[in-house]
Amino acid sequence: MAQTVRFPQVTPSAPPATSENVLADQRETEKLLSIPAPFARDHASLTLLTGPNAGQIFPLDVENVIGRDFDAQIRIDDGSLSRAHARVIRHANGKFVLEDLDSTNGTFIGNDRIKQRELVSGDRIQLGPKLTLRFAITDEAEEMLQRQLFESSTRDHLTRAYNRRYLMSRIAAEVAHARRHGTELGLLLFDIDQFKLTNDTHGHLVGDAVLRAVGDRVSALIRIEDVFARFGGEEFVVLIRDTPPRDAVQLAERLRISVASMTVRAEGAVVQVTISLGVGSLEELTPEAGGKELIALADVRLYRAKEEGRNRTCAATPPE
Amino acid sequence: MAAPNRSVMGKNTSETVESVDVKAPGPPPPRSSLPPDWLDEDIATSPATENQISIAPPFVAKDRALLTMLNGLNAGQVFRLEMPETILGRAKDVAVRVDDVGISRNHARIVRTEDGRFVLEDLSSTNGVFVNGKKVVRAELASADRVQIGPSAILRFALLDAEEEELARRLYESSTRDALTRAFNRKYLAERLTSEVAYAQRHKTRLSVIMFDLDYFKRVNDTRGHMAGDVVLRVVALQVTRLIRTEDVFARYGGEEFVVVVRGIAHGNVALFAERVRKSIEQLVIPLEDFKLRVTASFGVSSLAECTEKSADALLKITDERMYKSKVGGRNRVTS
Repeated sequence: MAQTVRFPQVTPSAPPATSENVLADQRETEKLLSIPAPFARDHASLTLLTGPNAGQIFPLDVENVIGRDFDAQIRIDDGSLSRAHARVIRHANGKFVLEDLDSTNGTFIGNDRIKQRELVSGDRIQLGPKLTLRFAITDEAEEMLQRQLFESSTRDHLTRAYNRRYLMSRIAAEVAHARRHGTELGLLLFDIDQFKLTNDTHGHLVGDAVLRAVGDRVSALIRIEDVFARFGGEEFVVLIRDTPPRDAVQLAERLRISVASMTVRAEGAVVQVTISLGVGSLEELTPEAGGKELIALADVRLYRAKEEGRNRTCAATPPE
Repeated sequence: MAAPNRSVMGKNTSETVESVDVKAPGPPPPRSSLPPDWLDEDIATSPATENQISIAPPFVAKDRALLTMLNGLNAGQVFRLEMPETILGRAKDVAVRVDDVGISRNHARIVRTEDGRFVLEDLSSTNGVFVNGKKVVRAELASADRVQIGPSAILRFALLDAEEEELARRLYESSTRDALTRAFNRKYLAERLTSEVAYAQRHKTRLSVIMFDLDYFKRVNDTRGHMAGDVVLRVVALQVTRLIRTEDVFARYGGEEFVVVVRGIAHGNVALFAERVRKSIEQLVIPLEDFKLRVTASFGVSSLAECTEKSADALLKITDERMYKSKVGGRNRVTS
């Protein structure tokens, strides 16, 4: 039965201006109040249209080198790019010019391979065989929206599993919860065996099909409250709450056997894959340890599973 | 020169995350299978993870006319203008539905002419239509134009290619945060609450929902303008974020309605916590440009154990009913 409780008011007349509850941080207030002037189209940016980070936005400065180099202003870690592939220069007159920096695989705008060309808002830039970016001049609000959408995206486009950013924030929350309530928290880290070989032999379209098939299979086997995420290229994590280590190992084995029984058909190729798994649980760690340590523990075991011949699960408790 | 054949080039360059299958003779040193940067919270791009978005042909036509919501609860939402006529407004059956203050039911329309141009027309709306800040009755749209309908809803018109449209849709669909308050959005809340209900059922653990709605918020919007309203929402959200625990899920549920999902706490303590949040909001002094504003909120609290039907919808429904009780009981209070 619902009951309405009226709690006594705390001195309603005295404004508690010095209370900590009053908007603690002045800087944050200022940020909240600064509403961008509308329609000033003075934000030039490049947006990544392809790859795992599609949607990422890079604001443009005076000189912007794009490439694989660590010190490139726009660093895109993709093997088909040269170290310093191309650059965008903002000239004094406010125009932006794209230059190819003698890259191996070339720089294109639309259909044309270019050496140097002025950019127009909406231009699509292609670097090498597959990486595309869009050049745009927008206003602050639009750039901010795009950044927020990208930063708050949680799913990996290919497998529809959660992405790594979401996983890391979710692990932090689950560790806090498990510590507070003294509940169990298990983590499976697994990796598709010899995935590079599959990619090299059959091409990356088949590789993508394998990732998708493994993702689908695992999603179908876990419970709705388990958190399934793509951690890296062919590495995945399943975070399982309130499950004793023995059950976590059982789940790992179920996933392993199920994936091994699968046949992936794509692009005319027929591929069978296996996975290796490492299992860790929070109770094995010291009370200060957090999500990163939990992943590290599972990772050591995953590595052992690989060393011992792949297609197996490695955990503190051996599989029955 | 045309772009090189990408699928062939792709094969040559398809390295995956550095190989982990090193066969060391003798006992191997404990070595990580993870890339060295895995500890970074940021997503470091894994080396050459292959293209995950299908590759478009070299020539890409910008033939998709799209409207993107730039603000409001559905910021980022994409509407494709496919029909000869697209109506924008508050009515339930219009193609581009913008449920915001000061929007007429059928506010404006965009007509695609036979020669492929797009023309925006005001449908005698109360608060008018603007293109790039100028009030218009009828105007032809150019790519990147900014369309404002009513006092606050802003959309961008753009001609994009298929890949850009796909990306915009995916980003929106996979987004989980409300752009204004940074709280989780309603879509994420629905998904997450469903999974939390399943978990609580299976493990017989506690699960509660707090819902609150700012009192007289419409008045703030009407008298101080929607910019002031936005600041109020952000300040309140920021304050609530400070009070909750890491594992609590805080979401914007509607215009000025918020939800907190609380796990593993006895019902009475959740009600006490809601009371703390209520008090804290009441004590906020929100500095706007030339004046200070104070707000209150009405709360509803309920727990899964009280629901006869164990579902996210049932839980939200009971909480909503209690919040309503707080409203009719005089606002600025908690009903649990």
